[in-house]
Amino acid sequence: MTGKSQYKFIISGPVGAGKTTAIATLSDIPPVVTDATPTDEVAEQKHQTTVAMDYGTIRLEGGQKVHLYGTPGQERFDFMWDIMTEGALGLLLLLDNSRPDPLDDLERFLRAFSPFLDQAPFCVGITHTDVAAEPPRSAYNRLLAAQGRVVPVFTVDPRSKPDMNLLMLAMLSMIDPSIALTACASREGAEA
Amino acid sequence: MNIVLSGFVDREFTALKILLQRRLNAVVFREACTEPVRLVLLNATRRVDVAHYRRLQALFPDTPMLALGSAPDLEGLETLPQPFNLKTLLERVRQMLRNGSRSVSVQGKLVAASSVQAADKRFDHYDVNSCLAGLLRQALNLQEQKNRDVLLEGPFFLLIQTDGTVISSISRSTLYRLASNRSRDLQFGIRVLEETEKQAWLQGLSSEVRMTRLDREALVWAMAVASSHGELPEQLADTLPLHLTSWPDCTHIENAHLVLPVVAQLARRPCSSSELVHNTGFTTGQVASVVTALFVAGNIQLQESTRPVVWSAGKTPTGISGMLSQLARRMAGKIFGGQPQHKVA
Repeated sequence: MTGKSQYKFIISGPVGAGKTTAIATLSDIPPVVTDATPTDEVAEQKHQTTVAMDYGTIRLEGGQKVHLYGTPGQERFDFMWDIMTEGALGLLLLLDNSRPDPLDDLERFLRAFSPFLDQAPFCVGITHTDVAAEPPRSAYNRLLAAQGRVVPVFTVDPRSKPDMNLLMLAMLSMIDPSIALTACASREGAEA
Repeated sequence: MNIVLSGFVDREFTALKILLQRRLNAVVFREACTEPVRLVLLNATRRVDVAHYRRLQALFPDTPMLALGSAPDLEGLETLPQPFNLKTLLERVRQMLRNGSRSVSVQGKLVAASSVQAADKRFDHYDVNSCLAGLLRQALNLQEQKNRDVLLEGPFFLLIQTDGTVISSISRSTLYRLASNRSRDLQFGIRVLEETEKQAWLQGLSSEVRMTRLDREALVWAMAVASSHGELPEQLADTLPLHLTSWPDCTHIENAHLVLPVVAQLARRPCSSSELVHNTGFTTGQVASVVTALFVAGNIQLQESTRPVVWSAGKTPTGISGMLSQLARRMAGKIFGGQPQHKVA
């Protein structure tokens, strides 16, 4: 990523997975959303859905910013995905376990983001497990393992700060394992 | 031709390695090997730890093993009693290699040799199968194979369901207490239940049976940690590389601040428990607890059967470490800033 200390992460997933909520949870600013009233089959699931992108920011010391971009979930907007991932450091994929075939969703997103995922880390957050307990998390792991991918797959509540931060931290630790150690050291020190 | 040397101190290992390389053109490994092994040489000039011998046997089940020195405690093991000279040793090794050609086997094959020697303080080991966590692991293996609900029935019952929950007839705290007690002699039957059988079984329960619904992953994790007492399962020698096959659900387990750094190391490449101590700075007890839990939960394995990870170390973006560290510290502050979460469904 070029420019003055600007970095970005992408949050993607199908409609209703909780992308906008996740950005609101992680962001330091109220998220910029591009919601509109759906006119297609999405109207049966949600009153409002993202039609361009969601945006949030995490501000770091020294003026550095981490940008969070949420993709629109509807497939007809998938032309945007390639553009949005350009220069991104990682992808956080949220999957709604209560959709008809969430494993198919996972496969579809893996295909769609394939070139990006071969060079950048990603992690999977399974949402709505309180509504639908199955498929179990192990089914996602098996599907990913079949593609030679061992990545963090956590069950998360996009409204939960600990859950979302843990998922992000796991993704960062895939970029550099020592990061998790440094970040967790304060906690470890506090316990000692 | 690969030969594994076990139980030798650095000076002895180097001397033997040079000898075997020059005279037999052998490739010599310490404890672990990436290729099929033709022979294991075990140092029995000092007292041999029986548990260590069993671990070697488990790792190299069809590979001939020769103990240098006497090993009266190790039944069936071929020995070369002291005193012996190098000529005698080489003759015996050649003889065993000739006779043992049947044992060129890929069993026990490991994907990578451990690069760090054992830590100063060696791990202690215990038999995970002798405690409740081991039973649970067997039940989980069965469930994985059959993809059906599995019943663990004895003095109390655990119904392990495919939806990720466990129904227990005793409370969580009692389960953890029982898990930590390795000497308790608990007799259980483990069986797979079809849906109709399960419903009939549930209906047949006395109305007085109190049932606790628990999150499977959190339960397995906590029971494994409770049973470890800071020691490693016997199956996991501390110098052998461990392969991460799946991440644990860090949002559902305790001590994520210990688990995440350990798993992050394993996600990058296979590491032994000793390396994990070295790389993380955690104590052997802390690493043993996490590794035990990963083992019982099925997140790691010793022998290679997984495909390589697609995303690898060579592709780390450069020049961003400062930002990543700062971001990670911030994330950790939001996760661990208050009380650690212990979520149970």
